[in-house]
Amino acid sequence: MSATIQASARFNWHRPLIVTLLQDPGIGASSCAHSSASDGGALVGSGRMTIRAVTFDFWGTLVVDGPGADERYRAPRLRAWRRVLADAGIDVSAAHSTPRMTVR
Amino acid sequence: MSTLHGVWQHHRDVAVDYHVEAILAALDPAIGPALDSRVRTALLEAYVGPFAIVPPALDGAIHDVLKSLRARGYALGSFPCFADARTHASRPSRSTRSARLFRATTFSDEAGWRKPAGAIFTMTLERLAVYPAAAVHVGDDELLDVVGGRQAGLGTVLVCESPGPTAVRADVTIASLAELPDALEQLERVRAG
Repeated sequence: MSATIQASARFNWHRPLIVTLLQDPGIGASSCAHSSASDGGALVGSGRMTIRAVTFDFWGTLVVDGPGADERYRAPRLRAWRRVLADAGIDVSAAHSTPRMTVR
Repeated sequence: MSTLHGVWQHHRDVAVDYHVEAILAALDPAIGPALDSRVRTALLEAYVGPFAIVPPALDGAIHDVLKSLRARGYALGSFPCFADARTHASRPSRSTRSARLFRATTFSDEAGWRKPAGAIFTMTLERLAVYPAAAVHVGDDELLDVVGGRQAGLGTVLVCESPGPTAVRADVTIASLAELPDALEQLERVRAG
């Protein structure tokens, strides 16, 4: 494995990139203001039928995480990925302000 | 990651394993092919693990609202609609007391679709055995929930504490789920003419 990766041996580990990559891609659905679409009016689809079912959005409606919620997860995730990759021979070090990831 | 965004742009969804592959590919295309399944599994666990530390949970007030809706005879469905690590980690919550209130829960990565695609609404309503016109969708996002729900033929309730001027109007807008029972009564009255 080391030999395979050796060819692309070094690349920069851009912190903003990895922070973006390892944060939860689902987080960030905005509250109340997400659409640029216009939809033409209310009560479409309601007809005159009695309401028999109610469906719910989950994140942001039933379960609300604050804007800082990512932070609870990000650091352990980064640590764990660094450890797993290091064990696999892919060394991630955080020298200097821009961490560098070196593939051995 | 652009691959993931490409998938989501078409309102499709993929399993969380695919996220790991996408992240590895974005880091360096040479890494992924060199990793064995043991390492991939470890990366997947590292990706979803933190959410198991702080599992998502409904607060007591919301549980009471859901319970009252069930008592009024409504069938309830929910869309944990992101095939992300939180969703992955929340799967055990299917057995929690709140999860048991839902007759149908559709995970977007299992469905292969995500809101606002009509397919995910349709799948859920089929499991509830309810026509769209007899259902109301409740959510906090104008595009995903209001436009998506309406296009699928459902009535819509927007949960928004401070709604601003907007081009999208739900059938009813409420500030919190505590107002939902009254909002549903209001919708019932409108429907009854």
